[in-house]
Amino acid sequence: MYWLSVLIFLPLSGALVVGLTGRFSAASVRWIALAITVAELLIALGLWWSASPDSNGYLYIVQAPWIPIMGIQFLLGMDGLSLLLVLLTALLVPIAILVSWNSIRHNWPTFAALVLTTQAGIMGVFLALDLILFYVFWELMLVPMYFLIALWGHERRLYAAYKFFLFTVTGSLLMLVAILGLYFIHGEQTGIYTFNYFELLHTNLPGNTGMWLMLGFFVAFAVKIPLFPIHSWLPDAHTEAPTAGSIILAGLLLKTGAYGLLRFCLPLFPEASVDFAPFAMVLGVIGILYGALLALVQEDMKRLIAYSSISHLGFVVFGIYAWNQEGLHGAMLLMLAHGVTTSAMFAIIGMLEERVDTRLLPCMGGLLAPMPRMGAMLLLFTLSAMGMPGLANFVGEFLVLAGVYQVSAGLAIAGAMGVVASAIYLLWMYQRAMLGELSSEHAWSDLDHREMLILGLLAITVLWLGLYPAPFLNYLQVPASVIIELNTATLVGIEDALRRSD
Amino acid sequence: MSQFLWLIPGTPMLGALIIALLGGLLQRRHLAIMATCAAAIAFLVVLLTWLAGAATSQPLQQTLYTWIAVGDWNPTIGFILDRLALIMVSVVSGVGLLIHIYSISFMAEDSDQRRYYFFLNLFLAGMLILVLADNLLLLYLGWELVGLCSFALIGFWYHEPMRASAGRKAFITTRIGDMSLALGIFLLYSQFNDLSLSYLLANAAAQWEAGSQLAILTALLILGGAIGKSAQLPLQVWLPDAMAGPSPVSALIHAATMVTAGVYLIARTYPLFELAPHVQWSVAAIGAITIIYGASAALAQNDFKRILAYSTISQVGYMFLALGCGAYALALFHLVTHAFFKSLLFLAAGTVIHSSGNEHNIHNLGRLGNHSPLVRWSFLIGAASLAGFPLITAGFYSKEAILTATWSAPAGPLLWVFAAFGVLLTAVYIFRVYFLVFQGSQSSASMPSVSGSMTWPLLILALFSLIGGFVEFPEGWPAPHLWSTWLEDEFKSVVLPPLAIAYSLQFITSLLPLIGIVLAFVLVRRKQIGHSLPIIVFLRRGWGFDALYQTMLIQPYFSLARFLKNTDTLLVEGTLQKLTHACLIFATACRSGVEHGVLDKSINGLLAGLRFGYARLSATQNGLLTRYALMISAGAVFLLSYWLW
Amino acid sequence: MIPLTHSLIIAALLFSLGLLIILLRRELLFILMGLEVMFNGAALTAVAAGQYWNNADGQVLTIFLMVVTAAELAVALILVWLAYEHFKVTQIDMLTQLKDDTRGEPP
Repeated sequence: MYWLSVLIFLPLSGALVVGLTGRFSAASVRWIALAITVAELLIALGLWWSASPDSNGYLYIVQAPWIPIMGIQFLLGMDGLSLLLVLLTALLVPIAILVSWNSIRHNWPTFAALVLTTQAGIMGVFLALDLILFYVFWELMLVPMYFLIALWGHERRLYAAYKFFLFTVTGSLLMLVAILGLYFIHGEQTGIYTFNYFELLHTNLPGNTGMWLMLGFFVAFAVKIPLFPIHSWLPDAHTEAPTAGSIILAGLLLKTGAYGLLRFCLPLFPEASVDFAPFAMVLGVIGILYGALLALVQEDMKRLIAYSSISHLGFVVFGIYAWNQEGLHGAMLLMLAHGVTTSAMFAIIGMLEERVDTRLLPCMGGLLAPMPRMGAMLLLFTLSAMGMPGLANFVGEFLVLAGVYQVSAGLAIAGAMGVVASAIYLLWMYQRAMLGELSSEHAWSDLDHREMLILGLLAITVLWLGLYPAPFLNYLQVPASVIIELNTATLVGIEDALRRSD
Repeated sequence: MSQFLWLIPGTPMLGALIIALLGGLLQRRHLAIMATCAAAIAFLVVLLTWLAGAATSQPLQQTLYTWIAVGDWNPTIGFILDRLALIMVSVVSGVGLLIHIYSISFMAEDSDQRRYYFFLNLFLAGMLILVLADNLLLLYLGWELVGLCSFALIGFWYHEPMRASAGRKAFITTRIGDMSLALGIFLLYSQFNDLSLSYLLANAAAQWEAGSQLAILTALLILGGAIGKSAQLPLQVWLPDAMAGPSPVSALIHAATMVTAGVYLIARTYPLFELAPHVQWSVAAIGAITIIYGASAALAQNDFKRILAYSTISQVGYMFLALGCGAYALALFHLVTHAFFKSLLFLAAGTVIHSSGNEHNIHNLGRLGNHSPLVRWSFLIGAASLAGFPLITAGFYSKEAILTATWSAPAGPLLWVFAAFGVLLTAVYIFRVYFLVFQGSQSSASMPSVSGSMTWPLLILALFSLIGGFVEFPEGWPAPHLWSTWLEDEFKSVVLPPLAIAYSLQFITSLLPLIGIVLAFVLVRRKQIGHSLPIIVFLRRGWGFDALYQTMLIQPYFSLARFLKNTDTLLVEGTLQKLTHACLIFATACRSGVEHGVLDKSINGLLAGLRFGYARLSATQNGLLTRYALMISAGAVFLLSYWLW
Repeated sequence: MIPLTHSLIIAALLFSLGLLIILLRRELLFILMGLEVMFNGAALTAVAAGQYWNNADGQVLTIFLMVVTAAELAVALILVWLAYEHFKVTQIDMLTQLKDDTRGEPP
């Protein structure tokens, strides 16, 4: 299916045309970018439509030689997990463009080109199955993001962009080392030097090597997720980025980290990951509680949501390393839910900032009266973020906790406390922003049609994910069971080894 | 009939949706009528199920669709209507309808009716989902949904920060209980891999031994959820503050329905509690202590609605007491009568407060005086029913039944003493209010008329507060026991004390309210005495729970968060800064040491050597042809001589 | 019959004489003449060797050499004249245009 390549190269070529020719006015660039991203969305929906959920393994595969002498291929594949994340990407990027419609005031062509390039990179990350190709896309999404933050961000944008770049590049270099290590070990063992994911799956890693290589991948992904000790880039980057940047960062870039764990870290190094799972879960639970606590005392709304992202992504890691049906399904679904919910929150904060001219909670209050529609929308997404049943995040969080409970009740209790804590900080945020006395008599306009369209789309998605997640869960059945088989196979392998040593 | 089951929660949900999406197109008045119609349809469907014989037939069931499908676990959106659910559904939709009707005039002036009716309808839907759910996950959905609506309606007049905070407090406090319930659900799920109620209860009873660790843990966790929602000790702090909401909301959510969800939950999962006798006894104990707590705190309040809130806490305590003693049917009996008389009291109080310009203080209300006879009489009926005035009120029958059943429970007499003392206190505090507000002054200024849509709910509720008890007469009386016979299949029957004891207990229980009323009369006569005694202040502040939580939990939590925020800068940022600094120093050292010291010098030396050689050699390149020729010949001579050697 | 040694000694003397002229004299014309003397020495060697081996190659080479020398001399004389035209010198020491005049500094 060459459509997979189209998913990547359509925005890339769009970015080249828009960014390099410089022939278009700002007004037409917006429409062109929107058209390209909507076309992406339609392609993604078409792929969803024509895919049958029961087919085993990969729904679509694209394979072409790239640098055959080194065993590098242009290998794209889409399974259920990639499909859902591609859909998420295809949904959120047009929304990011729509959100920036009026708020980006200078240099639209470059902005659009950067957004489209980022989209191409993210699509590539979710589709690539050749490790070098994956690495290329991994870096490809990083660079335009850096410029998005550094050129259109807020006050401390340069610092934030620099920090973001430094953290992620460090992580991804470690991943590159690990990729090469895996490549050579596999080559020595089998005589086939290749970066093909499917071939590398069967690498037999002796002793500690697996653990070290796994850690190389893990650090790269943990920076992106981000996990507790290496999260510090995220609040800065989220806060300083323009609204579209925050949406892409929170909605998509963070997901690439979790996706990497699911696609590469666990399947490539099952033994090492099994050993590492308890540590990862503890890191996850620290992230949940730490993020929730810090979110409580933030005064900048964007920063608050950034910390809440740390908390929510902690649940995702939690679910991934619980490594059972419920946990994995929950983690994958929570990735989608968090992407939609948090993007909507950032979009609303962007709209608020356009009107009120501040993101600081102490300067707001009573905004529900002049802007009832915005207040209602913010309430909806706030509720979703705090895990209200019937909305998106609940299903994910519930499944994650149900899965973790089977592994360790103590961790599940700690995670459940995170759910309570999320109610505390989110309601406190909502109250400070929307309720209470109105501070000034300024005449504020409520949401206009464009903004209602954005939030309406996201609201429908949130309700859909919350009330009828079955269509999405269907696609996750196969990827989840593949990963679970790895775990059981590992456990069986360990048992066999023990039996043999007896 | 069962294919129409979804209509019961579905119509209010649909009403809420229409209000949310199209509410902007409707006029205020039409909004109210639309919302009321939605509630009315739900109530009609419930009535139809009665008529269709739901009361006698097998439980009705309907499954709409599979909600989540993970592995071989497929929780559905499905409803079940058995007798227990039928009681709850009738109360919720019936009282809900009355409150909607009442709200039409009560909220007529308010400018934000769209939000009000949206959440009111949504609440009704949530509550009906809660009681109809056939699995714990769907029950949890309803459970959280009503919590949300409670939050939104308490903080309905959000312009005052105090009211908004009260909403938040209610939500978060109940969320703590919800967390406990969720953990209970996880535990059950990890044990049985299913959350369908019927499956769980059957299997738990079959697989777990009585008193086993898992059973105790599960029962405790579920109890935690129930305590949070039903405002029992120690999670009761949110309910008094919840009175910040409009009075009809207090009547519906914080008196008749939502706070009894905990009672419903325990009654629904009672086989689990049977497996854990200690937990069940602690349900009774919590109930008994809460009775005293609520009643004594109500005694010291001056805010009209706060008295009723503490009274609700206390009355739900009776239901918990009954549950703990195994008298599930009687707990539900009290739930129903309480729904009638407490919402009657709230609506009457709401009318008084509404017509007196939002005055909440009972002393001031008494001084204002002019209250219409309808309100006065309905409040009197409600108060009498709450106090358990013998023979003619519903409250008497339900409360009496619970007290009699308490006696034969483990440590029964002790619990009974608590409960009986509660009866006395109840009569005192509620008649204190009655005397203060309605007898306080005899001014006969112009009586404000009560509009129609507010009258009918009062009348209907007053009627039921009187006759609602005649379905279950006390033990040993020559009269029918319709209620407990009807519920016999659902629950096991209660162990009752011997008749002689029962009669004497009944006598005492009938006497206590009368004594209480007299005491209240005396108390009001000697008004203002001991107004600021420490004990009164202590009671008025609800035994100081708020202050305790403030210092024990909330402040430490916030300071922990602030501490972490600071250390986050110190720790993570600081480490980073240090790391960057170290890198810089290292880089500088490299520059001066390696770059300048070794590499630069060697390169410079090489350059100098080359330059020297060049200078020497370039001397030969002098452009003098003869020199070149000399060189050539010298070279030739040299080569030749070398060759010839 | 003149022995080979004699002719070779004469040729060597001629060659050395020419070389000495080139090395010692400064005038361009004299240097050209020195060159011709050296050519003659070389040509004499070729003729003597041809006679010694009874081979005509030496004479052929000598005739070829004379032709080339004539042509070369024509070009060289023009160059000398041009040098005089441009630089007004006849002394070889004045013509040091090709010398490396950035002594000691790398280019």
